[in-house]
Amino acid sequence: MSITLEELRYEWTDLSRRLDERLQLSAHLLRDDWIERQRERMWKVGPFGKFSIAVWIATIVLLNIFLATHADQPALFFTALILDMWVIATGITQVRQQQALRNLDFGLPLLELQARVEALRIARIRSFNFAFLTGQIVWWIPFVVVIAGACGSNLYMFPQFRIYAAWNIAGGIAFIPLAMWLSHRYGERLSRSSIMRQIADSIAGRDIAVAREVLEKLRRFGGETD
Amino acid sequence: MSPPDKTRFLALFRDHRAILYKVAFGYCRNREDRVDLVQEMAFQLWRSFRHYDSRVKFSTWAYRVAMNVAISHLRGESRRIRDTLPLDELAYEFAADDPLAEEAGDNMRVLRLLIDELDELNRALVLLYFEGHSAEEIAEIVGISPGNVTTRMNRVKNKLQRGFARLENPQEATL
Repeated sequence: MSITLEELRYEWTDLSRRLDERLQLSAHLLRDDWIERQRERMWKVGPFGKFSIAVWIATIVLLNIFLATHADQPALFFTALILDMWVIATGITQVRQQQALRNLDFGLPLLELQARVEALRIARIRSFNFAFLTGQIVWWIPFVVVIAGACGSNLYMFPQFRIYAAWNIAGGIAFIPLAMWLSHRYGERLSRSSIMRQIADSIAGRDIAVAREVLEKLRRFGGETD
Repeated sequence: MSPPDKTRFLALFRDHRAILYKVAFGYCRNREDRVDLVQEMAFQLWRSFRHYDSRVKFSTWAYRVAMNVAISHLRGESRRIRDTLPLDELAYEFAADDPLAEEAGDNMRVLRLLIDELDELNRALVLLYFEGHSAEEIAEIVGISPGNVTTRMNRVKNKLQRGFARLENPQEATL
């Protein structure tokens, strides 16, 4: 005869009781310094931690010094300005997302918290896509700024470099739709664990589609019927 | 966290930490993952304590935190939220306790296999049901209406009962 759920519930209760007894015996393991260790860990958290923030701020400061000292050279000034805006925009986005993740209140009801986590996931994927794809256009700009700042040479003075830069901009712009098409077409053939696969899923929008499915599932679960 | 809050948290945590093992038991089959998950839950409980509203029962709040961490863990978001923390002495302390897995009988093991087949939200319902929570309490933890809990629980109970029958009599189930 098949066991009923009520009988299983009784077994579960018995197991729970034994667990409670056993944990009472090992209560001494929970030391007060445990909290201090948790506090220390909190500050090590996240990919955009203290070191990254320090590097980010230093980069902005250096770029702004560069802007101030090259205000009379429009080509270099505007090149550095584009880089400065890109660095500030991507940095602020990352800091805000990091803050939002840190401030998540896990004590919220399951559906509410999970919906917030998925919304943050979508925002994170979008900002990664923005940084990755626009990075293809601006990646050569740091060379111009670094060489001008460190050696005092203006690469724009060399006609070959202007051609090189023009080709890079054109190549970067062409790369964006090409990367999206390749990711759609071949992304799923890449290994599930590879970074390439993760980037491809992100660019192709598959990760966003999964997150949206989860949101839809949460919405249905919250409804009376599905 | 002020010293009185710290004392209060530790006292509440000490009295309710079984919740973490029970939720981890329902969401993780692998022992190492379970230890890691319990550690994450404990971390988030402490971290979220500043948001704790004492008008809500501590156990209700602790279930919410533990289940939210477990679901995020399943989706791979948990590590991103808290990043990877090394298994240190705390993990060792928790690793020393895995009684639900150690003492579970055959029926509990079968139940666990069946729970594994459910999605993360239905797992939450089942775990809370087995813990003896009412539909109202489950509704408060999950964030749905009590009526919705009852409807969904009936479906899940039927599914579990059929699953048990299938596992006990695999030949009948395939006919």
